[in-house]
Amino acid sequence: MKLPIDWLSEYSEIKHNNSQIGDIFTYLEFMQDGPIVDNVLDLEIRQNRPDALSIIGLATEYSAKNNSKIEYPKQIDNLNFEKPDKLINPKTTDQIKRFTAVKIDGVKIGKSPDYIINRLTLSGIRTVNNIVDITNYVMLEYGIPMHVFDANLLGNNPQLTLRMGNTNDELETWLGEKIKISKNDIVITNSENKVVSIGGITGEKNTGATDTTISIIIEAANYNQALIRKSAIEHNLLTDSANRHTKFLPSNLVETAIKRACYLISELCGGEITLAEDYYPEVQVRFEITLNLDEVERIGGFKVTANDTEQILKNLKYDILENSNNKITVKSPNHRTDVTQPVDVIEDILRIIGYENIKEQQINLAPPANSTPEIYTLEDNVRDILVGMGLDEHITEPLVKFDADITRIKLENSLNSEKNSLRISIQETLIPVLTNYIKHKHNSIKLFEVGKIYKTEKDQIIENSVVGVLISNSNSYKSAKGILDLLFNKLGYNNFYLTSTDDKKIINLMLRENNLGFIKFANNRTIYFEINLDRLLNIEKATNEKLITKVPFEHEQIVNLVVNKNILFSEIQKIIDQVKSNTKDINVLSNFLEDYSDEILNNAEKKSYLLSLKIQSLVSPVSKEDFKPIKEKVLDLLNKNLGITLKIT
Amino acid sequence: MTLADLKQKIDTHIQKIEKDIKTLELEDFKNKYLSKHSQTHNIIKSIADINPIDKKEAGMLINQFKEYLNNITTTNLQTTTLDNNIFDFDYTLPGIKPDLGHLHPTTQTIREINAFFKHYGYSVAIGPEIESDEYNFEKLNLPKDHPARDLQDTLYIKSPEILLRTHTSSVESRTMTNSTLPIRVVVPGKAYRNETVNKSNNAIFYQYEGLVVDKGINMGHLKSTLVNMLQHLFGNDVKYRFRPKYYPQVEPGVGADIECPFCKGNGCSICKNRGWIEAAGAGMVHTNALKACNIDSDIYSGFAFGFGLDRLVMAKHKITDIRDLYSGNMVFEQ
Repeated sequence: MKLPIDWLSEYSEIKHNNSQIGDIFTYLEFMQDGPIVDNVLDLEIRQNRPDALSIIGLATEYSAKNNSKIEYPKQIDNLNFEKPDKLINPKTTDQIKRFTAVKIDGVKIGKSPDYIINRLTLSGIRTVNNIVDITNYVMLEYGIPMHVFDANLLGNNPQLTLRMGNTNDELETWLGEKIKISKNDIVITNSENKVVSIGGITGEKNTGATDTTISIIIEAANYNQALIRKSAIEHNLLTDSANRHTKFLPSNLVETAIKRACYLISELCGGEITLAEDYYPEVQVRFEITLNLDEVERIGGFKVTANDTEQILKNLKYDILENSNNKITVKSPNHRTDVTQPVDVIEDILRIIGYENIKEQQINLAPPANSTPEIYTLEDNVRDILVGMGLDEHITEPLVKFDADITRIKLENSLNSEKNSLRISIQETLIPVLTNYIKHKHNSIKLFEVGKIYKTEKDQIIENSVVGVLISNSNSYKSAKGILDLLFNKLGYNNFYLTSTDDKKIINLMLRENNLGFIKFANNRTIYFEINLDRLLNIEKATNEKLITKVPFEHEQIVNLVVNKNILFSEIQKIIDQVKSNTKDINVLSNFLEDYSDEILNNAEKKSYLLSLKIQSLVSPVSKEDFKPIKEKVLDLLNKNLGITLKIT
Repeated sequence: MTLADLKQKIDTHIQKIEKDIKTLELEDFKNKYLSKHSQTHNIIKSIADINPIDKKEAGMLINQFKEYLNNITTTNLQTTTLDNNIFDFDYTLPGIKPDLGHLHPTTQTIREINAFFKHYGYSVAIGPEIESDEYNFEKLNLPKDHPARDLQDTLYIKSPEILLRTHTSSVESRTMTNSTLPIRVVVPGKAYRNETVNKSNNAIFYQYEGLVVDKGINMGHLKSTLVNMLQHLFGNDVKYRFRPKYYPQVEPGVGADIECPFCKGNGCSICKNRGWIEAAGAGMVHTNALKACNIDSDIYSGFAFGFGLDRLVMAKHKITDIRDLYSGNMVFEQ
């Protein structure tokens, strides 16, 4: 909102230089938004204060802060409004909070006086003629938009009908743009049912006041702001008028504003008021609020006196109804729609006192117990472990292009078609990062992302936390598998296993019958795997990291196994684990050393795995004698269940 | 053989071992002392010749001996006496670097700020990114068709009820609704808006919010929290100001600005000639929001604050284009 300081000075006594005025407004709630140019302040007015989208509104605030008087501009005083009859025909009633119209005959159209032209220009509004300029001028003064029609261009019977739009309605704007009216628009039509204005948004090209106009109808109104908001967005007509009408305007000011406009018209354009009608079905509520001063202290953190409070609220144009026993009862200001309850009044009091006067206080209350969710801690652990293994973390945008996947969630209003749905796996957004590393000539690439994936399943939206890992080097599967093994081990889950899909394209990552994720080739030298952390969290940890304080007694032997090609190492491991679980006090370990298949066996059906088998005890020494039965048990089971034999060298 | 004989045999043998371990190569040592045909092996086997009454004690002696053997090789791999000219090589050559990855700059920043707030007793709270209208708007004093919804262009999955959260405040309304009181949490996380993407705006961004609800929380507490936070983020000599600012979920609302570090308050293009940069939004949790989350606003009060993380991360890492943060355009130096 542009605020020419000389205009402000017409209503408020100015006690500061320009820069100080800028600061005062900033600390009042209306931030100075840029430098002061031509003695004009540019202020940020947020959505709650449409009253401050006006010079009078801002003057009221400035005067309240400085405890000084405000001079209101002159308005016509002997104007009485009739109920809707000849001038207004309200056919839709729910959406109109107030509609006021005045017919003035015999006006003289001409150029506006310099002060009006200057002030409109400083506010960024172009001048048209004295009548149109007055409506804009008063809109800036009071924040109430108005519109003026040439009464003689409205047909034989210049009556304004208010109704909802029809799909066959049309309107041509001032700029010559043709607009198709929708059924959500509130429209004003002439007596021939032709749309002459979209209420609150824009007027029609051919019915406005021009140089030849002699009779006018001027209207000011307040509508259901939600509807205006929809219309303005739909037609992309974010006019000065629409900007105000999309907020909660004070209906009470509609009459004030139109009386002010009538005054200026009679001063500058002459003419005679012949009709004045006011449709005001429900009078704007001014809220009666009782404020306990202890509440001001409870929220603000310091005491205010009843007298100071009363003065502040009076200055802000509250009506004081009662002030006794630490309680003040007030009526909300006429021009404010944002004051409905005690906390609104408290904010006003604190604003005027100034936030700079609030004293800092440390919180001396005992903090509640830590409630950080486990998944957050798990995500952080995963990050630390992976970074420790040399992986770089990336965060990628989860928006991707929609495809035929039935589980994919699509956005209704995406900005572009490349990003119109949500990823169902992190691979979709992490794999593309690879290209960039390749550009930078990195040979061994190890990346990960901890983030969300999203899908619908049976009409349910599912959002899961996952980690995606991307390994690209000459031995990517083994690197990835090693990372996976260590990651699970460090997280305290040791018994995961892998199963492949029938086509052997994807490997499933399993833990106690739960599918936790998958491993796949992203390209021939790149492995991608993903673990669902939400699911992992639901599985009880099997092992905790053990600290070893004693050197264990060990016996170890290397065995060379001849294995059928179709047997997986995990099956061998399973048998060793089985033996281990049946052995008391002695830990049975195996360590895979080499796959000798090609060099030694020269057999298409078989492979050769070299592994070390080890027994360990922390309690007593272990010998070959202890080892022998365990080894035999292992080999026996391997042979019986999997047909594995020992390679004789 | 008696127990005393065994003990003496072991002791003599240990003396020999102690002497040889310092002079022999490891392999030779193993052959001499740890092989099947070694004297060591014979000593261990000699337990068979011990008088049955002494067997238990002999067993303990042998066990100690085995343990000694188990340790001796490992211990003696680390030589304790070193030559004088041991650094007589180019010790400035590059070393063998272990692999160590990097956390994303945003994660680094979140952790640093989390650590700060943890000190003040805050936990971390999280929530879904796909959110309902109720938690994202309604419970935060943003009823449908409220003009303040214009502040946030929403990405809808199923309008008007299901959307991508437009701010992390949705986690605050969830926490207020579902947690026991008192509450002291911070909320780092992603948020989404239907914005035209450019150098300084992205449809996806990170926010960092905080929420305290307890008995007797007031603006003074909020102010001191904000001061501590700004000093932590921008240094102890940061110049700041607090002004009233409207956010629907709080009242009274606060805008916390810091002096523009680029122009020192004189006005430049970065601060849009304001001289100040908005660092955080804050305020006392709105009575309507407390009520909507079933908190008795006559007994409890609270404050909330929030700021965009991305700009902070960008400033720290000298990144000038917000799109580089989450597009994978960043490559960590190896």
